[in-house]
This record gives sequence, structure tokens and C-alpha cells, in this order.
Amino acid sequence: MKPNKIISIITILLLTACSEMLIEEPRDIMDPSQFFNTDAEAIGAVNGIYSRGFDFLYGTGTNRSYMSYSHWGTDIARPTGGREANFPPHVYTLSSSEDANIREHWEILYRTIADANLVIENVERTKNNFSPDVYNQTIGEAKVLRALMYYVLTNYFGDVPMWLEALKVGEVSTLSRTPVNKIYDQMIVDLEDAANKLPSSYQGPNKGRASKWAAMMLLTKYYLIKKDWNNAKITAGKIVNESPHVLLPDYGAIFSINNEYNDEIIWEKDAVRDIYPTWIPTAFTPRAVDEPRFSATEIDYQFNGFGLLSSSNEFVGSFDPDDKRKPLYNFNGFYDDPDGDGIYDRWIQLNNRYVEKMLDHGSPRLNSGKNIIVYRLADAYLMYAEAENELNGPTSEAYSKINSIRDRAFDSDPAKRLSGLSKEEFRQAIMDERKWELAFEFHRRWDLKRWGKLGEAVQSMAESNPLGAANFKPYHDLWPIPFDEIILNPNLTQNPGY
Amino acid sequence: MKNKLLKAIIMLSKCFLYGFVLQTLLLNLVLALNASGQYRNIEEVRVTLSADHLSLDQFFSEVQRQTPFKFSYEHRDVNRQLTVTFAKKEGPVIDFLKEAAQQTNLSFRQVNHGIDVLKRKGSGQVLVSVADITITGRVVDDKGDPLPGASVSVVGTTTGTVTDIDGNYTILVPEGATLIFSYIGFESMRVAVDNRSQINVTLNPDMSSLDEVVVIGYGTVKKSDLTGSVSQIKSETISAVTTPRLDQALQGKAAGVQVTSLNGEPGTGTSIRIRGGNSINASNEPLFVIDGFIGGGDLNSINVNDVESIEILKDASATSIYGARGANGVILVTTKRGKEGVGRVNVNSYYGIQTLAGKIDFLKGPDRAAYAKEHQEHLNQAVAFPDPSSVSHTDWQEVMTNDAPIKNTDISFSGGNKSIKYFLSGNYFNQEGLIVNSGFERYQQRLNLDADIFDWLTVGTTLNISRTARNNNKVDFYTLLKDMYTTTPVYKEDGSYNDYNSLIQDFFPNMLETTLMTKDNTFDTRFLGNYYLSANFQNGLSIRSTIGADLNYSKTNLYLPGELPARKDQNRGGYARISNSTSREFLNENTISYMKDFENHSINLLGGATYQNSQRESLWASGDGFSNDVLEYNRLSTGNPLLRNSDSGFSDWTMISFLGRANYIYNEKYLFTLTGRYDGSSRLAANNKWAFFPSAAVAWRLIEEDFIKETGIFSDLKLRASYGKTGNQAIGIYSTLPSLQVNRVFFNNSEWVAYRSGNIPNPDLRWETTDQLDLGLEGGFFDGKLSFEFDYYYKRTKDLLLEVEIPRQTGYASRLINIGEVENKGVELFIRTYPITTNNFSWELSFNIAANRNKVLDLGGKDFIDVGKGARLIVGEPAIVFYGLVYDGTWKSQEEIDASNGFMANVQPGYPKFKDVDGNGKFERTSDREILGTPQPDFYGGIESKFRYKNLELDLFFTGTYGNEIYSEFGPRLFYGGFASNIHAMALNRWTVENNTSDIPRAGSVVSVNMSDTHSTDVQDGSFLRLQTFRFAYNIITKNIAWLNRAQVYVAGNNLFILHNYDWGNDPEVNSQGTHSILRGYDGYTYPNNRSFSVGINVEF
Repeated sequence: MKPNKIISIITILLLTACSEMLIEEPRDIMDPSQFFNTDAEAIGAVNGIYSRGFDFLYGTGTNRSYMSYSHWGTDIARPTGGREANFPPHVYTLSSSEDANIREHWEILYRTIADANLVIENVERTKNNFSPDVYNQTIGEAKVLRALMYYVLTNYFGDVPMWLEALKVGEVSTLSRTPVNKIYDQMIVDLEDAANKLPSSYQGPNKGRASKWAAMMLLTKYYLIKKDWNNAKITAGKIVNESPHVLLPDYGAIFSINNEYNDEIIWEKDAVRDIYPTWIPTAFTPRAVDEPRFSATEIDYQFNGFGLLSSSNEFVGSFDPDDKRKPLYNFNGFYDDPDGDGIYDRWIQLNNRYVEKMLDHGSPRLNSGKNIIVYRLADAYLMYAEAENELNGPTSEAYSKINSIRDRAFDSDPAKRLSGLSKEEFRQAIMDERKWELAFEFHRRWDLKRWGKLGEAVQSMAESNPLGAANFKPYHDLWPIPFDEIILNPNLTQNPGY
Repeated sequence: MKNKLLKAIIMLSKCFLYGFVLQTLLLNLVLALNASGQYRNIEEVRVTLSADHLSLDQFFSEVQRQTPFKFSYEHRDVNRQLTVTFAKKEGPVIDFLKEAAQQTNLSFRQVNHGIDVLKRKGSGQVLVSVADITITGRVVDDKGDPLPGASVSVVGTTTGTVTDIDGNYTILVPEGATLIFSYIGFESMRVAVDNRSQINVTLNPDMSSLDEVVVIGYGTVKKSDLTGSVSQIKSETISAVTTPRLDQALQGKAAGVQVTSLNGEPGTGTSIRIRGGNSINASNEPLFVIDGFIGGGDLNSINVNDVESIEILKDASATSIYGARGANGVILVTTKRGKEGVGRVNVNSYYGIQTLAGKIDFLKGPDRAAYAKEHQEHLNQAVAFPDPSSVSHTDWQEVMTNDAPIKNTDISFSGGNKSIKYFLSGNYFNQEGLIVNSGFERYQQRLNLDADIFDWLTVGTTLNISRTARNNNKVDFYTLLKDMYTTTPVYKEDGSYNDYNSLIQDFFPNMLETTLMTKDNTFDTRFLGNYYLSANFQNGLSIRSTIGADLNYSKTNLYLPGELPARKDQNRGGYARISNSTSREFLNENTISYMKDFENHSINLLGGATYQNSQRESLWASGDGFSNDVLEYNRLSTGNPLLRNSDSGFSDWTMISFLGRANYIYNEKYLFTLTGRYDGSSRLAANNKWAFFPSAAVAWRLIEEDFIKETGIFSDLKLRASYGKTGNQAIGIYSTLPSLQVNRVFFNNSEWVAYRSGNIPNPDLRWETTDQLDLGLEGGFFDGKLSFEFDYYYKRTKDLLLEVEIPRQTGYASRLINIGEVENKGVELFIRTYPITTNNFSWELSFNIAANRNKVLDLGGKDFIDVGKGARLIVGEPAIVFYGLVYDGTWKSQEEIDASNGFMANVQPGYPKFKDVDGNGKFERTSDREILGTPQPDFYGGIESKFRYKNLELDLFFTGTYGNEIYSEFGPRLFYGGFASNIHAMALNRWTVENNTSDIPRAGSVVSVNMSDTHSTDVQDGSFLRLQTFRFAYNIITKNIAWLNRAQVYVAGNNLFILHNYDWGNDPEVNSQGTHSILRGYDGYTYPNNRSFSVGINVEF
């Protein structure tokens, strides 16, 4: 052998040995290809989906959160302190290149879809590694969460790119917008599958996961958007009749921090004070500067919130004075004990009307343990009534569902029960009842939008939101596709008007 | 305890100082050690021989017996059996010697009491001679260190000798002779012998210093033989600055090296750019190599006074020996080592006081209240201060800061014999912060040891052990400036802390109370040790192997008491957290080198292989909800069990490299260097772990050419050129691998672990590569009284590790890929002159200036990328430019607004007006933007002036930049008058109905301004000139105190004044983005810079 050959062999051997020393063997990060082998891993990966988008939608309460965006610019809400103009989504001054916050929603919702796709693909791939219950549950939860993300995305933007597999960056980067109907159809298939796979209820530390009935609730909402009244009636009917959930007799009790996971609630997001708190009650809490000034020591009540959402005067004024729900939207004063003698003898009138049912009195700023309700049974009653009215007009079945809700609001006062309405009148009654019953539960904007009533609703707010009333144009039903996203992916098109 | 120790040290230092002054005053008589020759002469001493025929052997014995003289000779030169016949038996010794010389081939020379017997060459030589006087003495350099090998010769003769290892010499000279002392790198010195027998001289360094030795990677080279661009900074320059960190001492000292201090927090480092930034997402900080340990140690753990020299490698020829880590330049730090000779003790101690260099001029309490009233009335809001004149004024900048002491004491011992040399040092440093309850403390010890086991084998070590304690800053200074309104008093009337803010009418956590109550301390215990074994063979071959370890244990203790206003308000109890991390870095380097000179050729070859591995483990645990504040972080388990938390982590990386360098010099004129390093890094993707970084350089020593020599103008002239590649691997560990993030989620109040998608893996990530061309010219005039070094360079970096935005429909905002190009080109000039050099007075002036032009060439096909906070990357512009709206004064009247045809919506007189950049007649925040400036200066540099008058020294050092812009993150609130903010005092002259020509916006008009935008008013000129260092020293005359070599007392000042045009702060040299690769020039008001005065003493025994 020639010397240079020997040298080259030695060199190769040396470098091979060296290269082995350069292989990375991380010890504190998890490689996805080594995951999805056990039940615990599948559940851990599903938990990851909750920890992203679900947490983002129902855990954050800033001026650019889902909480603000699904209520502002409707007929129920306004920020306190005359700050309307500061919030483009409220006054409809959103322009195509403006709001980086919209882009944040776009990104996080899609990132959660990426998480869900990863779980669905991998759990299906190694299906035999899991017990049947865990397999069914994880696929079901992942599909419900993914459908929830597409529900919010399509409500925000209309047609959006839809992808359902683990991320391939090159392919997904160039996807164009999928028509909403195609997305609805896919999500309906997914949710039907999820509803079949998911358990009816959870026990112990699993309470709070998406159940069969959570899947059915979201499914019903997709049917309503599609105006598939027949299927909407069937699924809503199943929820009302077959689920273990019942209406609580007292409206206020549903929202009590001491009554979490009560029988009416189908799905709620957990929050634990100090440990896993939510910001949302802080967003509803008065801001000191907006309310009468007293020295802090004189006031028992903490004005330590953001005041981002309060009830508009128009909304509070629309209630029947006897409606027991009204005070839960109209916290506007309290008795104070200025001299500390234990007698609360000074009435403090507030400038704004606060949403009592979303408040957590006395909780520190940004640190509330109040669970946030995603879906509850009353919604299913009203959806059933709506679908039935659209199918068959105001039948006794339709009346019975809406009156169940009204009975609770009016102490079963027969005078307050609805009857003898035309189909059109009944439709209006449903719209009003949903407003009074479900206000500030993340539904109002999407309800108005699917009824085509968003503009009308904003224009009814001439006093509370004059800028919004003046600025609203029909194209505001949808948000602009984030301007920079169109630059990054020219296959995206902009919504009309922007 | 430690304060007691410190006090003792300061006391001792003071005593020493007084002692020296006294001695100097009293013992000012020159105790000359002059002594004339006392030896008897061979002409005077007589001898009686036993016979007239004697063998040489017998003759020598008889003379030695009868006289004090001793013969000395080489046995092979002298045939002692030879018989000599003498004419007489008695007479002076010299007569017999002459006879003996005539009959043999020998000659004799008296040297004191010795008679040298020498073999005679040829005829006509003196047979017997007398070397008249023996002179002994010592040659030392200007610092008192011995100069071994210095030549001592008698003027006009060939007689000469060299000094031994301790600088001592002995020479025989005729009476009336003059000696000349010379040593490479020092000025020669002539001394008349007169009547003395001992002559000690001190040689001064030669200003041209052509033969200084420069440290380069894996070796040293004479400066004259250097082919690359290397700046050298010597210990004198570094230790003259009273600063705890080496990098701060480098500020402005070397051309092309921009050192920016980040903020004034004790123990905070700097951001350094050598010839501009190459990268956008990877780091642009240079590589530090401390005593050969690549990337090892921490500058907080190094004692500035231990440093012998710092070399900054700038061009590719110099840096490519560090291959994949060389692209941003390399800073080599070499610490002092022991030298053969007597032991030395050096003590250096100083004490200083730091003060706040300046405050921002805010609207005072009553003015701020009036402004708020005007604001609220204008917007029909409830008025917070109905009677502004009753509002008090509080200067929170004053409240939250204090004059802070800085203390330093070093002691070092050095010396050695032929086979063992040592340098042992210790340091205590303590700097309190300007902001209350912050500071930095260091205990450090070093041992540098070299031992010769055999003639050819040396072993040694460089050990640095330190413990640093940081009392972490608890104050976000920006929040202090913005939220601690001048209208908010610190205390209530009853003297307790005020926790109510009447401007925003809300609870606020009193910042002073919060800061004083919080405990947050970080302790680092660090060991940096590098051991070597070096074999040097006669034939020019040497082998060197080093094994080193950098071990660090870091611990942070945090305690937030339950009594803290913010926690008490929420009734949360105490919170404690302990974080630990241990890291160990291992480095093994093996090199072999060969050096050979033959005729006109000189070669020097080097080859080597290195292995480096680093591991880091971290662990933290916390407790929350402590019911009282007694145990603090010392017992985490006493908190609420539900709120306990902990986590851990592990990471490691490895690099393997092969390196080589060949130097060839022909005829001392033409110099060639080839360098290369083949690097493998674990951080990179599987397919791209290895890369080769070569460079080549040539230099031409024009001064050796006759046509240059003949001009008689130059004392030195060298032209050099180099070209090569270096890399940048500064990407995160594991960033090429797919991963799942770990998170958590709760169901029914129970915690669950959650795994979700992590980063997008990129299996193709590879090195950023920088190609660099360097052309240099070095020269000297007037015997080195003026020397200069000029460099031109061009750098082009490709395959940028760029965090590229991808469509977010993927769920991700960006992805790290190799794309894009950046170029840097520039010139550097360094000049050193000695305008005056007389015996009593000398003046040295050095000056360096550099201009770098940075340009983005390609961004992967995009025209621009927004990189946050008003910063944009634009192809063809520097990385970065500030980009935003252009302020155009105020709307002066309703008529002006009406006439503008709705140019801006919702404005009123006194509201800010912005420029219609795109000229479409309508102002839009999104499109009416333009480039407002760049944080990169047009040029930057430093000027150093050293005066010496007799025993006095005065050093002044200025540093500055010109043409850079800075972005004030507080500017918009200061200028447009944020409601919940302090406001600049210039708002006193704001637009009002009466003062309707003012261009300062009216109170309340801030509602029309979006604070997240960047405005031209936020971006301001960041040029500055700073008197960085002022130092005045007195050298106490010590030559009469045998045990004292040197003593100096000094006063020094840092940052005594600064010239700038910046409105929103007092110091434009800031960067709140830390060592971010491109986001520079941000003023985030992190921690104010200090101005310090100190007094010190430096003594050597």
C-alpha cells in the first residue's frame, strides 16, 4: 500500500471517529419521533393542544384577545373610560395592514392546528400502542380542538387555508384559501367522528376535557352556520335529551366561582388562582381611573382591572325590568363603609355597568381562579328552538325550549312565556333571548354574523359606540387577512373591502 | 467580616503610602555606591622564583602562592609541561609574564586578581595586558524588570558582554571608557564610567518597538514578521483604567474595535464589534481566548491587573486559525507569568466613588400636575389634580440612586529561578451600584506556574479561581423613569411608604420600598485551569499539549417577601426561588511545530488537533405563599405545597478541529503565511458538521529594501495583504433537531404535563462564512517617533443564519435557514507619536480611528425585513436602519387643518403633524415612513495622551463615535406627553392657545399618537466624545530604598465629561438590547452610567 493511501485511510478513520463524537444526543428535549408509544404520551400530546390555542382563546383577557374580539363591535359591549377610539376592532377602523394582533391570532390558531395534526397523525400511525379508550379519546379531543380553531378562523376571516396533516413547511406555506363550505364539511365529519369516540363525561382530574357533548355543541354550531337546520335540530336535541347535563334552577349559580363543573356546563376552561390563573375577570373589572375617586384606603372594592368590557346602556336597557339575569350585567354601584364601623351606609354609584357574571370580586389583578365557560346547556336549548323554528316554524317544541330558558329568568312567571309568535317574530325572540342569556360568553359576534345582523346591531349602539356605528360597512363581517401574510404567501387573497 | 478585611487593607495601604512619602522626604541624599578600583597591579606586585628554569605549571603555582593572583586557562590551550627560562629570579610579576609569553604561544591578561592565560593568534599582539577596571551592574527596563541578554560594550572597542538572566553583568574597561547598553526593543544608552565600579542602568523602550513579540493563536511572532492584522494592547494601558472588567478597558484602544458599554450595572459587560457585524441572527461578538482557552472563563472572573497583553486578531489571516469561531474577530488575553530573577511583590489598591452622571430633566411635580390637568380638561376627562400648585415634587431619580463606593485591591508575587517560575496573585473587588441595593463583588486568585523538568521539557499551568457575588439590580430603570411620577411622593405624611399614585388614581407598589425589601443575589464560583506540557528539541521541533477545564457553579437566590407592596396587596405571601447551574467545559489541544533558519530562509510550521466539549446542567426550585418572611429562600418546603415548582435541564456541545499554519520568510523581506482550520461542530446539522477555513497572507518589508533605506525617511515600512475565510457557528444548541416543548395544563384544578410542537427542524443548517480581504501598510518615521498602521478591509458574509419569516399559516412565524449576504468594508488607522521626549518631559500621543460601512446585500430575495422596535433590514442599507414616521411640527391653527383637506384625521390645533412621505396627500401610519438613521457610526475611535514630567504622569483618554443614531424607547412619552408617564421639561414650552407657535405638542394631543410607532423624534444623533479616563500619578523616588522598586500614587476619573446632542438622556452610549447581533443603539434606560473618581496606590517591592 502506498503511503498516501495509508494516510487517507487513517484520515477517514479518524474523521469518522470524530464525526461520531459530534452527533447530538439531547437529554432534556423530546424528539417527536420517539414519542407516541404509550397512553401517557398520547394524553400528554393532547394536553399540548389545550395548552396552546384553547388556553389562548379562553384564558387571556387583553384588548387583543378572543374575549375582546368576540364582543366588541356588537350590541352588548363597550370599553370603559371613553377609550373606544383606541380599539380598532370595536370602532371598525381596522385596515388591512394595521393590526399585528390579528396576525397573532392567525399564528396561534394555526400553530394549534399544527399541534392537533401532529397528534392525530401520530396517534393513528401507532394506533396499536394505545389502549382503545385512550386512542378514541385522544383522537376525539384533538379533532374537537382542531374544529374549534377552524371555527374561530372561519368566523374571523371566512375562507382560510385548511390543512390536516403533520406540518410540511414547503407545502403548507403556499396553500391558498379553502372555501368555508369545504372547511365546514370537513369539520362536521371530524366532529361526528369525535362525538362517537369521546366519553359522555369525565371524572376527577379529567373534568374539563372535551366530552362527546362538547363535540356535539360545536357540531351544532357548524350546522347552524351552514343553515343545515335538520341536523342542527338532531344534534341539539340529543344534547338536550341524552346528555347528563341539566339546566340549573338559578341563573346566577351557573357562574359562581364556588360552583364549577356544575351540571349545566358542558365544557369549561380550568383556572386556578395563583397557580394557573386567568386574566379574563380582570378585563371585566373596573379600572380605577374610570370611576369616582376616593382614596384607595377608603374603598373596600378593588378597582384593579382593565375595564375592557362593560355592558352598553343599550344592552342593559333592552332587558325586561323583571328579568333576573339583568343584575348580572348591571353591576353599577355598591354600599361602602367609609368610617369602618361595619355599617355599609354610603352608596357608591359607578359610571359604568359591569358584567357581574364574569367578575371575580376581590381577586388580585390577573390572578383569578374562575373557570371560563365554553359551552353550556342553555345554548343547546336555544339552538334547538332556532333550528326547529327555521324548519317547522314556532312549534310547541320550539316554544318549550325557549320558555324553559325564560322560566328560569322570570321565576316561571307564565306571563313572560312566549306564545303566538309568527316564524319571523320567533326568530327575533331567539335572537334577543340568546343576547340576554348568553351575553359575554364568546358567542355574540358569531351569532350576529351568521344571522347577517352584525351591522344592524352596531348601528343600534349609536350612543355607546358612535364611531363604530358610523364606520361599519358590510364587509366588516370579516376581518382582513393579515397584510403581511399575503406578501409572504401570494396565493392568499384579501377579503373584499380591505 | 469582609468589610473589616477590606478596611484593614485600606488602612495598610494608607500606612504604606505615608511611609513612602516620609522616606522620600527624609532620605533624599544620594547614597552613591561609587567605589574605585582597589586591585593591585601586576606591575606592582613582586615575586621571587625558586629557579630560573620552571615548567609553566611550576611557574603558575609559585606566583599563585606568593601573590593574590590566580591563573585561569583552558587546559587544551596551555601545555603546562613546557619549560620557560627566566632572566632573573626576582621582580614584578609582569616581567616574568612577558618572558613566559615570548617563549610560548601564550598571552596574559590581568583581570582583577585573575590572570587569564590565552592562546595567541598570529603575531604582533599584546603579550601581557591589564584590564583596568571591572564594572558590575544591572540592566533593567522602565518597570524595573531585569533585561537578560542585554549587550554591554565599551565604545570604540570590540570589548563587550551580555547580561545574565537577572540583568547583571561584569565587564572590564580601561579607565575613562564609555559603556554603551543596548537591548532589542529599547533605546540604547551611553554611560561614562568615570570613577565607578558599579553602574546600574534603566533602559527605556524604543518607540519604534519593531521587535515586540505579538501573541497570535497557537504561538507568538515578532511584530516585524507579522503578516496579518493584529492590534496589541499592553498591560500598562489596561491597568491604567480603574475598571473591573477587561472588555471595558479595551474601549477605544484599538482601531476597528468598537466596544460599547451596555449600561452601568456593576458586573455588566459590553458589546464588541470588530470591523462591523457580519451576521444578522447569529452572534456578532468576538471570540475570547483566555490563556489559550477558547471561549473559556468569564470576564467578570478575571483580574484586569493579571493581564500581560491583549491581542486582537482582525483579518482572516490572523483569525482563520480559529476557523468556525473566528469570523467576528478574536481577542487573545495573555496573563502575566513569572520571570527568572528576584522575587517581586506588587500591590495595587484603589478606592473610588461613583456618582450618577446625569439626570433626565422632567416636568417637576406641580408642572406635571398642571400638564395632567390640561390633558384631562382637553379630553373632557375627570381631572386628577384640580389644584396643581399644591402638588409636591419628588425626584425619583435621586431617591432611587446613591453615590456608591468602588474598592479594589490586588497583590501579586512573581519570580523564579532557571527551572521554576511563578506568578501568584489575588484580587478583591467591590463595586456598589448607583441604584440602591445593587452591586458586584469579586474574590479572585491566580497561579501561573512554569517548571522545567528537563532541559527540553517544560510543564506549567494557568489557574484562575474566582467567586463573584452580584447583588442583582431590582429596578427596571425605564419603569422608574416612566412610572415614578414627580407628582408621587415617596412617603406619606406619617412617614410610612406611600403606595397610592394620585395621577392614575391607583395602588402602586412603592419602588423604593420594593427595591429595599427584595433579595436577589447571584453567586458564581469559577475555576479556569489550563495545564500544558511542552517539549522543545534542539533541532527546532517542539510539541505542546494542553488540557484545560472551565468549571462554573452558579446559584441565584431570590426572595420576594410577603410584605412586598405588590404581594401584600394581593395577599400572596412570600415567594422564593433558588436557581443553580453547573457547567464544565473541557479543552484538549495538541500542537507540533518546527522552526528552522538557514541562510536567507526562515520557516515556521505548525500543526495541531483540538477537542472541546461543554456540558451544562441546570436546576431550579421555588416556593410560594410563605406565611412569614423569616426563613426566606432557605427552606422552600415551608411554602404552600401546591405552589412548589421545579425544573431541570441539560445541554452539551462538542467541537473537534484540525489546524495548521506555515510561515516562510525570505531574506527578512518577503513573508508568507498559510493558515487553515478544519472544524467539526455538534451544533450543526448532520450533513454539514465539518467545514474548512483557509487563509493566505503575504507581507513585504519595504524597509529592508535599499531604495527605501536610501531615502532615509522611514524607520519602518511594511506592506501586507491577506485573504481568507472564517465561520460563525453561533446558533443555539440542538436547533437543527425536531423537538417537543414541555408545558402544562390544568383540568379540575389538577396539573397535567403537556407536550406540544417545538421548533421546526432544519437538517440543512450550515456555517455562515465570511470572506475577508485585508490590505495593510505599517510604517515609522523619525526613528520611530511617529508610527502608523493603516488597514483597508472588505468582508462578505454569505449563508447568513437568518431567521426568515414564513407564512404563519404553518403555525410558525419564522425559520432559521442559511440565506442572504452582508458586506462590511472599512479603513482603520492607528497613529502613535512622541512629539516631545526630553529627560524631564515626554509626551506620547496615540490616536485610532476606524470607519466601517455595513450593507445588506441579499435577504433571500426580499427587499426588506422588519426586525422589531422600529428596526428594518433593507437591501442596500446597513443592518439595521431605524424606520418610521417623520415629525413635522404641530398644527398651528384650525385654518391650517382645514386647508390640509383631511390630511390627518381627528387632529386639532397643537396636535403633532407628520410628514407625507409618499406624497399622496393623506397621512397613513403604514406607508408614510422613511429611514430615520442607523445605529452604525460613520467613524469611531480613541485618543490617548500621556504626559510625563519628572515623576508626574498625566494620562487622558478620549473615546467617541460620530454619525450614529440612537433610538430612545422613552422618547415618545417624553415628547408627546404620555398620560401615564413622566414628561420632559421641554414641555413647559408646549403648544397652548397663548403659545401657539410652539412645535412641542399640546397636552392631551398624545391620543393622536400611537406609542408603538417609531417617530423621527425618538431617533436622535448618538455621536459623542467622552473623556473616558483621566489619570494623574506621582512616582515616588525609590532608588534609595533598596527593598522598594517602584511606588506610585494616583488619582483617576472615569467618564468625567461627555459631549453629545441627545435630548432624551445623558449618555448616548447605551444598548438595552445587550449583545444582540444587529439591534444596537437602543436606549431602554436599563441602568444609568456612572461617573467615578478614585485614588490609588501601586507599589512594587
